[in-house]
Amino acid sequence: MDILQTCELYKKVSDKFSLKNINLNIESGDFLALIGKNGAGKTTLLRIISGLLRYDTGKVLIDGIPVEKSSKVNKLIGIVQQSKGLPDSLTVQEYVRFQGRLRNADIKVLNGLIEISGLTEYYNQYLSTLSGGNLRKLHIMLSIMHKPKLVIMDEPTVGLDPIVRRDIWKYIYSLKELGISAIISTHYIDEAEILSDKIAIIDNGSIVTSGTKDEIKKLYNEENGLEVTLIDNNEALSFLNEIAKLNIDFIKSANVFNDKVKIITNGYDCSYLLLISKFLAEGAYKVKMIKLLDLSIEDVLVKIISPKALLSDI
Amino acid sequence: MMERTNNFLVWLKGVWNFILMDLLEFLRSPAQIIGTLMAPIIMITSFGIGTSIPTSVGMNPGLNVNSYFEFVAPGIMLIGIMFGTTMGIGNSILLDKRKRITEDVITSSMPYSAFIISRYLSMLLKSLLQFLVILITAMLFFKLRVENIAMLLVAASAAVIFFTGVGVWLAAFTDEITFAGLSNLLLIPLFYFSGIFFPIENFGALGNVVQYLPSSMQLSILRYSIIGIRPDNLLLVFTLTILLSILMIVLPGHALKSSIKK
Repeated sequence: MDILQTCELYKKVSDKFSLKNINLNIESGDFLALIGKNGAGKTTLLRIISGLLRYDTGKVLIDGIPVEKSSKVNKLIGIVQQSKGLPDSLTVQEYVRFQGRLRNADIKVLNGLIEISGLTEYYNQYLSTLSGGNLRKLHIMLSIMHKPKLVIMDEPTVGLDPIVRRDIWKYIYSLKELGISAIISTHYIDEAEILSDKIAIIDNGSIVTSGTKDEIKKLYNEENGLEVTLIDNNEALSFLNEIAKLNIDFIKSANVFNDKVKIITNGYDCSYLLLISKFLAEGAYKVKMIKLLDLSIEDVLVKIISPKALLSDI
Repeated sequence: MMERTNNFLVWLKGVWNFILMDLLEFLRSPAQIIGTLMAPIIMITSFGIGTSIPTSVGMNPGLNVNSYFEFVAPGIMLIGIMFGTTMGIGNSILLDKRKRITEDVITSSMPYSAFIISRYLSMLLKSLLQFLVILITAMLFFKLRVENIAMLLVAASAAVIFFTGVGVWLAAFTDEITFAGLSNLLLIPLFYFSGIFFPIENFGALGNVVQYLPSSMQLSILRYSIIGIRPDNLLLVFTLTILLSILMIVLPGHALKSSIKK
């Protein structure tokens, strides 16, 4: 049984389609990551699924129930918003109880969740004193206090440092043990790969591809290539400029990110690696590592939403 | 029947939940408490000192008042309600919108009506507190008499509900900056044309129109309750005032919901 199903969903904002023909489904217990650039339509889609935004045509079903039936659907969904303010003058305890009454949550469930999320020691503190990571944990905890079947998370770790992000990932992943499904929009590809069973890439209001990580990679991995890690970004840029000048026929595209130069080639031949190695040696580039590429989800994303970006650095 | 009673109890709990949170926030904000209580005390005190001397300037000789203060005091109370309530609820709703608390409500299992009614009720509590502070100050220090306390409370409540509706409606479609501008644009004419500082008859023919402004009608009932000046069309004015107040719960409540769920 699909916990979420959207069929031919369209949404227009001032005569422009912000969502076009969205067909998505999440099986019960699955996590789906929604990735795409800013303004691609991720938040619009999540707000429609949350029942906060009306759509023009199509269908959105939560556990088989149309999203418009809010009194039933609201019991099935939990929402973690992208930027959510809090009544700062309340304590964690007061706010949790307020939200608990709002969602008819069992006080025992609430206490259990507070313990799991590690917020017990902050229970009597004012909300204004909580750190960014603890606030995010609180939001996630509040979204599941009424035992929903689907949690909708809009960029749940945006703005957090890498350590806290990992802590939040663990917490989000633990929702799976509770049998909760999730749809998570994120800019972080690593987050999408780690947390989700399936990924959907959205661009210009359309889902351009979706499936498991392997399915997506297989679909777009028609190219091979290699990645050269140099000593620093300047060295990487200078190497990129040099190979651009040479106009080597087997190099389809190349780009630079920090100290790495990613070279996508037409097919693969050992001679390509030898040639690149030779060129690096002749130019006396300070090389840390050369590795053959497996197309990542990030590459797929860039390839789909902005193919020119791959060449734009040259 | 049982289910209906249960649903009603859940709804009541919801209303209480929101009121509790709003009052907790209010009580923990010294600036809000001082603003709510001190501003009207300063206003009534300055008018009390400056106008509680016998005078007939600008007054209809037929009016049965001992001083200009007696005439103007109900208007001062209405100004407190008018500005305090509209600005108070408007800013509170704008903050709720910014913090996405209104979205929490829309996506919770609690009926939206519980949220909107609680907003009106907590505003009513705060505004009536402010109103009573002004009234007691006026009665204790400036010898204001009250003819009909029950009618006074009904009139004050109706005015609070009406201006809460104004605040909710404006806040539904505006941001902080637009809200301040629009509410002034709306409140200033209501303030000057409702006969707060002089009898509405002084407007001449215009008086026949402006006497039906919501604020003018609220003021005539307040004045009737406090100093006993009975308007000719009391029943009509009273009925219209109550109807308008009810309407100003339903329409702004709906407008706010529509503005959240686009």
